[in-house]
Amino acid sequence: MKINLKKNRLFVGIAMTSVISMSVIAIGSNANAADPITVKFNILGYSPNTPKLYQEAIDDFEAANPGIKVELTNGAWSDAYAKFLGWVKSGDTPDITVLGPKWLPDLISLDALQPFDKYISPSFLKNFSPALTAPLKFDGKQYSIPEALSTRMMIYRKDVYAAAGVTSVPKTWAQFTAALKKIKATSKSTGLSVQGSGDETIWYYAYFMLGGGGDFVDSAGNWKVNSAANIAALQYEVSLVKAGLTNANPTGVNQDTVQALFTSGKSATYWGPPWILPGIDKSLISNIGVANYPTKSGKPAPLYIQDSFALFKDAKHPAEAVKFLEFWNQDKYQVKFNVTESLIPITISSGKDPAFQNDPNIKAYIAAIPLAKSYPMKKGWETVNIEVRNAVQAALLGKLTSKAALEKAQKAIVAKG
Amino acid sequence: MNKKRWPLMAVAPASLFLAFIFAIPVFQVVRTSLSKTNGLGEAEAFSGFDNFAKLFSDPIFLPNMINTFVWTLGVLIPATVLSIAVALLLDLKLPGNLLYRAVVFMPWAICFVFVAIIWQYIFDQLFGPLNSLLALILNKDIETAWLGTPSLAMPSIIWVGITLTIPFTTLVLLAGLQSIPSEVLEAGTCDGANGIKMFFYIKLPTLKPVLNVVTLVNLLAIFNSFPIIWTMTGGGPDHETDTFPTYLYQIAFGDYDFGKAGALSVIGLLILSGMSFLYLRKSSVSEML
Repeated sequence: MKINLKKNRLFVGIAMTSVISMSVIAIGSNANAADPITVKFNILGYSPNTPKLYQEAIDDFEAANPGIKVELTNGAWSDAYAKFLGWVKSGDTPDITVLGPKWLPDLISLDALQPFDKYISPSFLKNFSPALTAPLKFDGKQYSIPEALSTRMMIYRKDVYAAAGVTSVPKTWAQFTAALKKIKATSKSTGLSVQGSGDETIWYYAYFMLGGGGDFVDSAGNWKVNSAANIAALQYEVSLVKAGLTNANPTGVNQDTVQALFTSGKSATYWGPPWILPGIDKSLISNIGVANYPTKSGKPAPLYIQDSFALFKDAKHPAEAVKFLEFWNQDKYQVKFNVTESLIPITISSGKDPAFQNDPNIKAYIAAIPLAKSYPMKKGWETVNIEVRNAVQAALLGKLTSKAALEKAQKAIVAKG
Repeated sequence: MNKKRWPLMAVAPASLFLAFIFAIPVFQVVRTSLSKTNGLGEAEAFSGFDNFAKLFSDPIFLPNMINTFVWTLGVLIPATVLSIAVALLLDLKLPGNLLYRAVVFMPWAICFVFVAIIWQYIFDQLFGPLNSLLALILNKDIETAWLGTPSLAMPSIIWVGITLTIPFTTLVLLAGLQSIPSEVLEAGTCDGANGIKMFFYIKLPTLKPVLNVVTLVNLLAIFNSFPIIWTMTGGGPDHETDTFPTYLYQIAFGDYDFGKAGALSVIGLLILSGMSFLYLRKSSVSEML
């Protein structure tokens, strides 16, 4: 039988299209069967080393798990939240991202995240201090896992303190003020370097605030930045500046400058994170001591700041992504990551590594973890941050009293809801 | 075809396309400003002028607008005057002219954030070269907090704004100066015009349309300028250097109040449109366009 191609053009067309389509589908299916799953993993780097450290772990993970590929992206902290919103709007999110926990309440309220509970192995969480994981729980669910940590401590010059006749590390504000006065009388060094400008201004105030028994919230969990304890803490910070026991004009001093003051030997005391330790002048390092910063009562009240991982609700491969997360948390990678980035280990087991335990300064930072407190994981943190920073600056500049400045901040926070 | 209509017809497709591109974001901003928004910035319900009321009741709003005008005019006027002077000098074709031009235009070619970081270091209270230089000259310790003292922070960032505005303005004015026909300049010389008369009676009037355009472009750019201020002071200390774009950023990505940010954007749009309209009417830019 002869087929009249002209008459049956439509039939032939359909048949050929079907054959081609089936072939494509078949090839596609085969390709899918052979192609590994691709996990999308977003980090926010701390230094140029961060992506390299993650990539090393990814290479090992992919070798051990041939069916899974991990695609790493390295974002910037400055525009991270705007990016997250864009991803959530489009539904095209990575599986896991690093973030600042301050964004968690907003992202959870947008239904953008899912808890880790379903995917993490039972033993995994036990390797973190509850002080770190508890604030990352919302409605009893583990919405976030710690990624990086810095506790905040006092770093001081033992030689300057000794030369001033300060024989024991000051634990209370009264002892600290007395020590700073002695240093002022005997040394060219600034007693305490204080920051009043830029991103970490609020933490510098928080050291005083927590040390004075204050908090950013009241007992009911509502924002309350003008409590009596908070006002007293800011008054104390301002009094040290006014008495000339700190660097002059802290509102012109940002994080880099306040750290450089100490690392260059111009200041006898610094309160803050551990990552300044490697930058300290080599001639000074043997005279460095680390202790809890003084508090009103003498009871330690260290602050910690952590970054964490979150799992997007639109994650395509959540189980595989969490599998890599657990792989990354092995001591081998954690030790190298934290040593390289000068951070504090987040897992209990990696914290026992000699790399940290043989360093008395880092050991002191690690010992503070169970006592340390984070800022509240509550909607509106960024507003509180901005308003309190402005209040601190207004008080340091003498534009407003500490009381008036914090009351103004509280009013603005309430007005902004 | 009607000869008068032909030019309009010719530019109509591009104009309509541009209007369309412009209209969509403007519509979105106006809609956001009149809406209650969610955390993603999406309009959820019509809220009338609530966002504008919130904005006007914010104690920061008025000082912020004053700061914005101080910053804008503080940069625009000196930068324009200095740019005219620099353009005239570069037009003299002195030996090494290419080198001078490279030096003048270089800050403009570098990312503004990077330039701002360099200036932040120069102004640094404790380690900055400016205080070190002053200490050397005055032979005493200088710890002036250029960016941390209310009375000095704004002048300091204005200075940086001026240095970054001069290159572009000079480039445009220099092009304008070089397009003045040599016959006109020669005629002026024959009529006995000296340097000052040549500038005020020949060069400046010829340059006026170019000057008007570059002033208008600078006005819009400086008003909306974000990276210099954000990098150097973050709007501080205590809002002393907060201007329109830094305030807008803090409302949108600090308070996550996208409705209020939309309202501020609409106000910014109205202010800039009004200023541009007035400027176009008063100047010869409209004739050029």
